[in-house]
Amino acid sequence: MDLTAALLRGTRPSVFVLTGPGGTGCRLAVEQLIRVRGYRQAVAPAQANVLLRCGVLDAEVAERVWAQLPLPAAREKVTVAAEAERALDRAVAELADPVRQRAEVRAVPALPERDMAERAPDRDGVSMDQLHVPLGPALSDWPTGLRLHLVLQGDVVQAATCQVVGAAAGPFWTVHNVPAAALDSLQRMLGVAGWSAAASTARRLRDEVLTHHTTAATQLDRWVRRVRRSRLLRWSTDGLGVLTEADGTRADATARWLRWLDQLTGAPAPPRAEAARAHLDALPGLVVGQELAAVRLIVASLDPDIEAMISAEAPHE
Amino acid sequence: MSEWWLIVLGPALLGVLALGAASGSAVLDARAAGAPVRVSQPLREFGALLIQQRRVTPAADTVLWRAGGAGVGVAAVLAVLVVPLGHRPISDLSIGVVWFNGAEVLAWAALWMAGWGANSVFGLVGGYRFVAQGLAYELPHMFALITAALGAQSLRVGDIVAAQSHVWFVVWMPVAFVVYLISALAMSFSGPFDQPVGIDLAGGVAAELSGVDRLVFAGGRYLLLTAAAAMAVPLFLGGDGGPLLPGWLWVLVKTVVVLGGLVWLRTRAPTVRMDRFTEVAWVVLIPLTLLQALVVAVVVLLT
Repeated sequence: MDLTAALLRGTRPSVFVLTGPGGTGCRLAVEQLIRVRGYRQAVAPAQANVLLRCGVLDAEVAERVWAQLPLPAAREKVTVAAEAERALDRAVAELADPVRQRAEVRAVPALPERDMAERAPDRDGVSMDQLHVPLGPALSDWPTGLRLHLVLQGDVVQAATCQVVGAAAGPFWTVHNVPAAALDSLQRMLGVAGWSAAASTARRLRDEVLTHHTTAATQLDRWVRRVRRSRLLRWSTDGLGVLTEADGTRADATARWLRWLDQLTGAPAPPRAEAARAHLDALPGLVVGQELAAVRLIVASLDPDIEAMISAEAPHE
Repeated sequence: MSEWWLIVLGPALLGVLALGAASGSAVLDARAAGAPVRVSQPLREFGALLIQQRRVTPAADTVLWRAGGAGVGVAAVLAVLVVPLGHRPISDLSIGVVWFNGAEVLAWAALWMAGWGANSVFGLVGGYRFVAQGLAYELPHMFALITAALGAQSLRVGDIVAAQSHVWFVVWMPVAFVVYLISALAMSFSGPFDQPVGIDLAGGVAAELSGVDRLVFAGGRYLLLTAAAAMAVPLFLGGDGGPLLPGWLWVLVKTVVVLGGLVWLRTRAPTVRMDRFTEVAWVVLIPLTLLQALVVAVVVLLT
């Protein structure tokens, strides 16, 4: 009796979806499959046993994430949304195959000699350790294609710079799927805010809107009402990331996610590429002095559409 | 000791109830996602984590890291030693309430060690978030415990149960009960108080855990939640009192009800940020619990 093979067969796939610009369609297909089949969507590579790559990303980033997945593990690349189901099936089959998993050998990476953290004065002038932490692109519930370099002291940001990684073929979200785009942004923000039940429901509604172009109005209304009325969510996001929008109004994170809720019932969305460029330019200024939870909430409430921005700014031949 | 089998039965029962809590949580998550519901999921997860590779990070403090991960479950088992299963607990200490509080505070050290030992930014921030969370919930929690002890004029859990033979404490100490439930969620970093293991930190303290270490840590978290729910029964819900059914069955039923309520609350609300919760805990909850204690003291003096 092979106990390891039996436990391997019963392992629930925990999928880490690594998305680069151009991979939004694949990501949506993969996320729907994961949800419907009852797999887990991994929050960190150490929690995952399947790695799925969507879109264009540095090969180095993909290799480093793959090296962090604990064995037994499997990986696949999804190039086209229609291929998502087959790729996921292949990956899950490889995961459950004891012969292939036993043959998998990982070379122990040669760990470079690291110095201790450097020191610098913090906001009170006290000398504290400084950490250079890049957030993204392989972070869950994070805008695709964004890398935010942070200089942290404790969990407070001292300095920040934005970097765009990857190249896009074209924008995914257009004026025709505004509600689905709003639901996608909302599910990411609700995930970052820690409200997993509402985020799961948002994903379910998003998939329904994408496939049927409509959804049970009562379900959507009930969910919108619950999220809109939530005082705890407003308590977390009030006053974060106040930005002057294109039309002159000053909006904090709460106002931004309320605007997404309005877009679900037909309000128009501002042009995504210009908004993304404006948000990325303002982002370093918004996050300096904030702690990590606030940084994640600010970025999630802005949710810049980097694919649209890259496509709009690409030099036209 | 005379009842040697209690020392086996107690932790075993704790484990079974914790497994039930994990199953209930899995069922709720599956229903919210519209996925097929599988009650056996925690057991399959158990098996899957046993065969998974353990994560190694560069320059990790392995002793602290592994000890911290295991410490959460140890804190839970120590805390449950004073909870009566039926008529008598495993250890009927004369200062049972203080023992419970002290055992649960072991989890503070465990979580900090687990976060710091991994040499990872997310773990470090998660560990310190739990320290901040502890500073916020601990004083209201202690005042709630003391209020129950005040009502019985004794720190022995058995005396507290005996003092509820006419009316349960939850009837005339509702504020203490609610604050205790909030602190039960906070001490096991569940529900709205899961910032130390939050998704925004890619799992926080649990970001760099895999295999057996993740199993021990996640299991310890459910054990801690179950231990806190189990302690609510003798403190506020009358222990083994109740008509018709035998005492031990009543204890089980009440524990399951409290545990079910806490598990249901887990995903119902967004995570509370610690910098904002600390303010509420110190400015609102402490005065409320002190007022409750004052009311209870006056009642005790008058009767």
